[in-house]
Amino acid sequence: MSLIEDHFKLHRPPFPQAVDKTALLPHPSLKDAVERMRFALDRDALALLTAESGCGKTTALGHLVRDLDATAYHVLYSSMSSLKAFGLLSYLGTKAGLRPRRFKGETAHELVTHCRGLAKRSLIIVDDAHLMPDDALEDLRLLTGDSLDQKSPFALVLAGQPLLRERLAEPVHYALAQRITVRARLRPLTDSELTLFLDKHLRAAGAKSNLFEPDAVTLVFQHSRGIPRLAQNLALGALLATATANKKTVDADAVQQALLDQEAS
Amino acid sequence: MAGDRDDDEAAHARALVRYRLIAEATTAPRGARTAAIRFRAAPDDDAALTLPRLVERLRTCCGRPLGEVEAEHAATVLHAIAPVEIAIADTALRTAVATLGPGLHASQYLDALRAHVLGLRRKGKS
Repeated sequence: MSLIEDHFKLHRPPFPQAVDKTALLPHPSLKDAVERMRFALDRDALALLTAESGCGKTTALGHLVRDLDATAYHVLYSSMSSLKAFGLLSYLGTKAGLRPRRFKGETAHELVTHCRGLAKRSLIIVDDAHLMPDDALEDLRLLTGDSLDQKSPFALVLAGQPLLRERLAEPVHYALAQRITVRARLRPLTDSELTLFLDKHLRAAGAKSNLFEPDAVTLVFQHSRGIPRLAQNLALGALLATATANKKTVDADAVQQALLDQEAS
Repeated sequence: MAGDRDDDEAAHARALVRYRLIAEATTAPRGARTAAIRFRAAPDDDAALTLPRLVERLRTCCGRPLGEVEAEHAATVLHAIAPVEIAIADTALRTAVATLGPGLHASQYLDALRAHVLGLRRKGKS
């Protein structure tokens, strides 16, 4: 057991990397983004999810996939977005259980045939898509329209930082941008949402009462700009400072100490 | 000797005249071109975005008084993008609230303001 869990009598570490449902705060922006992606999925359409780094894109995608009926959906997730077009197709093919082929065309054909042949609906998710090379983005678009009369063999979700929106606005990606049916944006948390976010995480870890004093939450909000990942890193630092000082609740001094520790490291 | 000096001075004067003609021939079209440029009038103080005005607007966007970090950030951003007309800032902030929602950290609205102003400047509209 770590110092934090021991001091605050928690049954597991707070703010884990993989957020389970008990710790997830379904704030309006998250709910809206997931609803929009579900809409795209129902239509085998193309969806775009953008958010600043640390705002919970991957968490939202995980939330979407977790709630899908596993017997009805086949999900291919890739975060290897820096791969070139052939590499990405091979990666997706391998994840689908296909043997990589020598040529890109063959790999693409296999992947599309595989998706069309499944009794389940297919969903391809490409995370960190702002890093994708131009040709890889273009190939994904071409895959969605490989047949004259049939609808797309899969629904596609491109998730990335706001740069992805800017890249899709460039003339070279005009055809792809035109095909995006649903656009969703995850925004950072408001100050009141941040209070709930911290509380939800700590209660999921076993806290019996509110561990953060209002002044401490305000300071966390000010310095994290409401970005969940920054907020939880700062909150962890403040919990550690509080445990070290043998105090019961996290006050503004503990957050200041955590900020100093962050700056020093 | 005196005759030589007179010749030198005459040659020097001729050279000066030639240079003057060349200079005039070069600068006259440029002058005509630059005369066509209309510079934007110096910003009116009443229409310019000042720090108190920006803070007041951000307070409306955030729905609460700004924190210390937010106020510092506002001053930094304004320093970087000034001069900005109030009307332009209002448009940018209204759009940001409509897109992102109210109540966020002021840096979200400031980022939107900066992007809007820089976008207008790239297009030559601000």
